[in-house]
Amino acid sequence: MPESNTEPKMIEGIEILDAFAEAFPMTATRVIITGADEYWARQAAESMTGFATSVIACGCEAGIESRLGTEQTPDGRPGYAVLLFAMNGKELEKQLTRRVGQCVLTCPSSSVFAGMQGDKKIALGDHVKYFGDGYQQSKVIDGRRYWRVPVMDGEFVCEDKTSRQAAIGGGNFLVLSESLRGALDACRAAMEAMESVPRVIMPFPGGVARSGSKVGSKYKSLVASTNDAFCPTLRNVTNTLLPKGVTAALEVVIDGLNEADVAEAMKVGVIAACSVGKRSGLRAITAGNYGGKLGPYHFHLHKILP
Amino acid sequence: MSRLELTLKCNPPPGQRLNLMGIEPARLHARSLSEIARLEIAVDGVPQALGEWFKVSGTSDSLQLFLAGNLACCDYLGAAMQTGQLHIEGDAGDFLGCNMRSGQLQITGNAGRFAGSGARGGQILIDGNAGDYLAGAPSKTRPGLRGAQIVVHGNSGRWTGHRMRRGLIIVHGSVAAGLAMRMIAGTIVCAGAVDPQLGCGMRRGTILVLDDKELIEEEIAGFTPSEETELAYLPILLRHIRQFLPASSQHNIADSAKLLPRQALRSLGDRGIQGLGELVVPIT
Repeated sequence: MPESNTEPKMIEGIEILDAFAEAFPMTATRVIITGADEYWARQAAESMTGFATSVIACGCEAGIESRLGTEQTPDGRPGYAVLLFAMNGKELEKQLTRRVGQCVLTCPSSSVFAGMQGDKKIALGDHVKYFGDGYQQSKVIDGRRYWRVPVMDGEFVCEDKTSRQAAIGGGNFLVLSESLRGALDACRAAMEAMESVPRVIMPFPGGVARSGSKVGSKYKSLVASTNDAFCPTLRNVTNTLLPKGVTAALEVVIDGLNEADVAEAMKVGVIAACSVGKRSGLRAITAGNYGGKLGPYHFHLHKILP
Repeated sequence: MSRLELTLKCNPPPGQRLNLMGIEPARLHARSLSEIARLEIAVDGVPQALGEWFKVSGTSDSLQLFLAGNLACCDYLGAAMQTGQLHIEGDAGDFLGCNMRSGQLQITGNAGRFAGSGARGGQILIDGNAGDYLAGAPSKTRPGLRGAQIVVHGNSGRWTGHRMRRGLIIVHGSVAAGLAMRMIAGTIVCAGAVDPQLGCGMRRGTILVLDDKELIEEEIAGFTPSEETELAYLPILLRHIRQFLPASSQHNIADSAKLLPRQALRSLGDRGIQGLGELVVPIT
């Protein structure tokens, strides 16, 4: 929701509206998934982070944080760092153990390890171990317990526990364009640049949501519904927030482990999006919020951008 | 370096044993030297003042305790140690570091029987040889090692790891018969020769043999024939223990940490009791 009557800020000729993104407290964990080679490590990581776009219906939000070299993983194989976000520790543990059981355990050659160490422990392999039907064995190495579960390609190694920490979900910015192609190109550029920012994920498909939502619905069973103020087809029948000439709006959503990382990701993403330039149809960048009443973290575009 | 020093004044008569249970850094910390000298030890079961047998010197400000003299007659050195560092110059008697909780215990000579028995945490470094029942159980009702890490630079005696439940033992030299007898779990790493009479009654746990490749080709009573297997946990274990191994074994494992092996020859036992303990020889 843009705030009105302030001097426009421009990056590469693209207007940055004086708006803020409203984000919420979440809890997050990181796991490290390794495989026989990068292909299989990626398969496990992508599978585990599938159907994890929004806590509204997926239970958690998840994504690949970064690719890890052989020197960065506990077993010296190629791997991926994956971040999972949920609204509370119990739900996070439930989602984590389900996803490890269904997506990582099943993936050939994979292993999974804790990606963060802290006081708040949650189960990682503590439930999955029972798949071993009594043949599972634990091995404590350097104070950390690993489960070895016999599977058809050898053994699945899974660390017993990982940790969780306070995190932030719902950082965002919106790309407003005269054409869908322009909006897609700007978002692609933003995502490519944001991949290098640590401790954040963009959980939606390709990092981008076209179905930005508002709180509530005319239907009682729904907690969220389409953000009609940004729908170009409803421009003349609702209180639109789309500037004149804008025909497509896409939202880049960011979850991060702390405020600074989310702000950094937003900054990097907006600058990269603007770099596609006015000729592609890109008109403006704004951010989504709920009037500041729902989330305690406010990321003002004019403050975080240079 | 500020440390507290206890030096044995004279050798006791042959056969007489000194029980030094409770003489450990945390208990002696911040006490005056005279107070420490008045602490009781047992000599053949009879309470006597520590000062009668040991010269007490240095300072107890830090958690560092240094023991010297012919300590082979002294049992329970570092027993139930809570924290700090205990350095023993020379040999030690039985039950060295038994029931230890945390901290580091180093001995420059040989250790007697039952070293590390029941130790839950911390690290025991034995520069010489370890006697029988290293990390072994002192009775049928109690397990052996329960979580500590023991590194022996010399050889270890019979029944190493007897009824061991958790923890890590690394032996640079040879290991005598009876290794891992009734072992419950944990890891024993042998960098030298290993007597093939091993693993009797072994339930779980790992015996990792690094340099005695002929061992696994022998028929070991109660164990399955060895098979080549990929063990996904092996690189994690090797990466951790590498720093504690002799240079020759380090080189044999891999030239660099990146190339740690996952393939190994493995046999399981003791199948006589449906045990799933494993004898592993990495293929390098």
